[in-house]
Amino acid sequence: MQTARVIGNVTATVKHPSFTGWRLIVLQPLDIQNQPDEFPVIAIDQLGAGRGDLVFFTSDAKYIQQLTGRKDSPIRFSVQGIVDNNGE
Amino acid sequence: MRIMECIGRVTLSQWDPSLTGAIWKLAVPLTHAGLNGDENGRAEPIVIYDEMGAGIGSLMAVSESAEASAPFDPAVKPIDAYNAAILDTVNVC
Amino acid sequence: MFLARITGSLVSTHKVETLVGQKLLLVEPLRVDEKDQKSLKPTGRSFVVVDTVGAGEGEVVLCVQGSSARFTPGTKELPIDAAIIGIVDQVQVKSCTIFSSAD
Repeated sequence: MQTARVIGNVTATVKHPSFTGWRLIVLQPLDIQNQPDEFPVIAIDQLGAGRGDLVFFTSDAKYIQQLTGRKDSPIRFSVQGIVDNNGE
Repeated sequence: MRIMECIGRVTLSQWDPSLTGAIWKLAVPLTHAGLNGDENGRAEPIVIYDEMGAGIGSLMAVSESAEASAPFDPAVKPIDAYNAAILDTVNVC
Repeated sequence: MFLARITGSLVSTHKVETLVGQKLLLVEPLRVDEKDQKSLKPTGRSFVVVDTVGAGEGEVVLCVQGSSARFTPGTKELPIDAAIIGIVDQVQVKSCTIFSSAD
């Protein structure tokens, strides 16, 4: 798991069927000093995280299989929680 | 999935049999700055497997590593990057 | 996936049992330069890859990395992390052909 800042969201019409019904947000992963670390990634979100929120997310493929109910999803990242204490 | 911009295509003369009919695109991974139009936010292009029909300039959600092959489960293909969605809107600031 | 040029073959007599009989090649990854749309640029890096398509020295090939390298019938049981999955015919950036195997 890693922490990230929500920097936006995306929408898509032409997409893999496993995306259907999911909100897609853009996360900027953060380093130890809460500075941007590597590339932004797209994650599915069931918590309603909004721009500016600090969240933590996972790359667990098994969890994605459970959430989407299918084994053939190319989705990799999902938001697991919104951080209350700003990581401090 | 990283957000990438389609900039071109690759064609093959020979391929692994599991890849018959595949369409290959060149895609530039974008950083946060790159998403906002900064030329310095564009990484080295990679080759991705595309069955969504991305055109030049399309922004895509690209699955990488083992997830790239998941859509073909259980007949997995030897690919490490897959266009999972063509993005209509990217609201990032 | 990445583009690479085959720079040579790798011969190894003393190697792990699972790789006996496998064709191992050395490749140099090539960079697509977005700004200068003229050619594929050498990178100076080098990888050892297994060939599944019958590629030869000098050819430009498409390579897969990571666990996906095992996802071909021929590489399923091999302890590898990179394989050639195709021989490149053409590479186009926007409307420019920056590589053609016919040249």
